[in-house]
Amino acid sequence: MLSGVSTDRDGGNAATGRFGVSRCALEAFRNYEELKVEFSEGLNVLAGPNAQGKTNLLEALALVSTTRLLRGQRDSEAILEGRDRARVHVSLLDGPTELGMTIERGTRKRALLNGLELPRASDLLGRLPSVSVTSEDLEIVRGEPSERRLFLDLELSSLYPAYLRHLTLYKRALEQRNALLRAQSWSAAAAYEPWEEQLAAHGVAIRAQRGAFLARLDATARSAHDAIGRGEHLGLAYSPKDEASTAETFNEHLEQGREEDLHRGATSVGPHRDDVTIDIDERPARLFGSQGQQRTAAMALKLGCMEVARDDLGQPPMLLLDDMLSDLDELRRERLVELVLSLAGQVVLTCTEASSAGDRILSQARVFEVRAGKVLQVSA
Amino acid sequence: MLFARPLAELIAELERLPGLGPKSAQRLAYHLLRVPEAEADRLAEAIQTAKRKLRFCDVCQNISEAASCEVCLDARRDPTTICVVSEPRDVIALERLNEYHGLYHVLHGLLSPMDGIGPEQLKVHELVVRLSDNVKEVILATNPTLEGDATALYLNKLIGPSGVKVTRLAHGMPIGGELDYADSATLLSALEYRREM
Repeated sequence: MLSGVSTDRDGGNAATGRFGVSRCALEAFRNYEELKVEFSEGLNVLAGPNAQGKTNLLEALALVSTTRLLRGQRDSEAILEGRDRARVHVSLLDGPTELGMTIERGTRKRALLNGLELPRASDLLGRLPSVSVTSEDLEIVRGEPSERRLFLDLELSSLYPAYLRHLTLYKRALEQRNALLRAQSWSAAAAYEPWEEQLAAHGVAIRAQRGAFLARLDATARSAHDAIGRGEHLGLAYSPKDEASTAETFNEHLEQGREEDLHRGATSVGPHRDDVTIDIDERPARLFGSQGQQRTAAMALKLGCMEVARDDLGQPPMLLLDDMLSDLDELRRERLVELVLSLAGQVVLTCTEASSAGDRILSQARVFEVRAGKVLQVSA
Repeated sequence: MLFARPLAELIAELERLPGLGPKSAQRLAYHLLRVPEAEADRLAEAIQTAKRKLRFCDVCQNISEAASCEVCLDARRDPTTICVVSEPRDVIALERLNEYHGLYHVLHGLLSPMDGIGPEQLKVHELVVRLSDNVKEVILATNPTLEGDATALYLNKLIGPSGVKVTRLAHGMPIGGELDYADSATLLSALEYRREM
């Protein structure tokens, strides 16, 4: 669709080229009444016992980066009890850009760029690229195909605004065609064509971008997995439910499927039914992997995303690691640290004991103690 | 506490208006009770007059006082070009430009199966009938939304075989807008439909 046009963005960070956050201010967000934090442009460690607010702070950063909460909850759940609105405000590492997000009960969330409201929250995407690694990622490997589609959609949307546009229009066209199938009153081909044509155009673009992304992720996640795994090999592939890969074949499939779709009351062709195969030593990780193997595979997927994003953006995105060190034995923890140091620019990681981050990280990191909604900087 | 019956009825009627919730409906109702009777009469009369005197133009389906609207009757306008829009307010927007001198056709909506709107619910048949009348170009000026595009695709398929030239309004950056604050969808479309200088 955008042939001949570079997908590089000016982003707002391109000038000096570091993606990350220098200052973060929260207001009535999760358990924080009010909070101001100054991050180091390299490593940051948030240490403290569970349920004190470490992940909440990480989540605030994820919110301005992706417009979504980390744990897939409804936005209003991030508002401190008894308050009407939560605010997150960050200054980017690179100079004068400020991003903000306001979540208010009963209305849609609002995104701010340098204090001015953007037309849509999604227009914030791409200004602060990030990759988050959390224990929830396990669902990507273990869960239903919809979890893997969501993973792809989120990663691709944050890298390519064009992808998000295809996805939004595709989903709406799908709803329209399904409504047509269920109404059954306008069975004329002419009624289906305008929707099928748009499904085909956007569907093909979605499949192409997902396929290309996974081909790259296969290589990068594999090498991340080699580093933190136990000598097993990770393999990824996009797995479309049908063979429609050009707009023409897509249109044909839709047309031929109309009768069957009428019985089902839903559209059977298209990327909304696709899946990703994740194999460990050529066996599906979802079925045969132990919890430990699945965890490692999930982590490798996210670290692989990190490298793909870095190649695209020219600079590493911000890396958010939520309590990822405790799960690993010492050897693999060291390898993870090695990998993170080699891949990442700004890193914010949480752990229960600062010491579990290891000396290599602690010697370079700015360490914060998080306790009962207070964040105290304890090292430079 | 219950509202007096006439007040409850007024609130119920106001609530049926688009964009008015229960609270706004109540506020309006109390306001109307407070205004002088003559003012309330004028409002009621204006509604009735508009309802009784206005109809759809037989030709372009725009809102009109007579069987044919002023635009369709204006001999200075170019009858070989028809600009298709979804709503009467779109005609007003285009007329304000004082640049377009062809005729219009108002569909009164866009295709949307989710909302039960198919071609039969729109003034599509009335458009097709007009094409035999020496029309050379149809400009599809439906909104650049999924539904607007679908409606344009549908009409293009319908009109195309007749040999009439079919065009679609361009979309892109708002004039005077700043790239950094444009929504991504608009920016993408402006990039996709860029032109050589």
